Amino acid sequence: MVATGSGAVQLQLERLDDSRIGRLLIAVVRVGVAFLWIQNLGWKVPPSFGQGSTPPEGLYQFTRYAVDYPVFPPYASFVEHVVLPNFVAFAWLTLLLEACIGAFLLIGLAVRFWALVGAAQSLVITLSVLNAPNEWHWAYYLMILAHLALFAVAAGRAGGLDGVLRPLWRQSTGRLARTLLTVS
Amino acid sequence: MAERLNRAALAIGVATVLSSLLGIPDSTQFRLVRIGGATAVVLIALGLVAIVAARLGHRPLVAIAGVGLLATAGLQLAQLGRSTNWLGGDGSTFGLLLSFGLGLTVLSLVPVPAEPIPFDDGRR
Repeated sequence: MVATGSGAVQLQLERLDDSRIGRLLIAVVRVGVAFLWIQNLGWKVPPSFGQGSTPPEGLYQFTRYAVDYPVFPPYASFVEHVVLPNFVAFAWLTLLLEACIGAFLLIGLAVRFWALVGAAQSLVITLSVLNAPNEWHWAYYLMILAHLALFAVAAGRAGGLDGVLRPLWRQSTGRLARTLLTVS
Repeated sequence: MAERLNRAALAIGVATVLSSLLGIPDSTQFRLVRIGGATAVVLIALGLVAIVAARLGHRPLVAIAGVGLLATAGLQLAQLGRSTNWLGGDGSTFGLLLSFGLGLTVLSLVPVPAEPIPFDDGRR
């Protein structure tokens, strides 16, 4: 703690590690999380995404879990009355959203934004499948935590395009550059 | 700054070429991305274009590689789950192509200033 000129006391915080190995490991985690999303695009298969099969399979099956094994009743009601009746549209939205999360995390662009989106999507998945049979709860908690960590360390600045482009954005006065600076 | 952009494009080009190796464990539990023969050819070809372009500092060529990968991603997306699937891929193929295409395209479009730009000086 240090005293300021006005006599108040400020808490000095220990700086986070900024070593080469630290930055390398951050990049490794970011790429690993990116591949988590990219790999899991493989079983989301249009046009039906598993709807119409007996028993239900694929994305439809996991979406139904939110209703069959509810975790949060308001969310279960939303899935039952809004998502499932319009399932294919939501399935395409899921496919495109998760592709974007994976793609942006892999190249390390606008990572703070996409890490938050990834955390939110991880929460949505958790609310669907947490109480389903044979699920390991910590897998979903860890998904959320990993994304929060990527956000916290601004992981795109380590070996990603955010680290390459931020100096350019900082020099610009344009709205897009200011926005990209914030979300990276 | 141009040198940094070229190095980044080079890194993505190398990653694009190397990602074709992800097709090796295709039939095993370790498959990360479905990489069929056609996808591997696209990744290697456009990845090499990006590498050459980055080494030469030729940004229009980087753009060609990037847009080519994005177009291939679009093709894969359009043929997902269909009987006609020229690339033989799935959603994971789309995600990988989208990633590298996006990266190269962004790098090719970023305006390069004439003067050097300092690194992060601690400001947000």
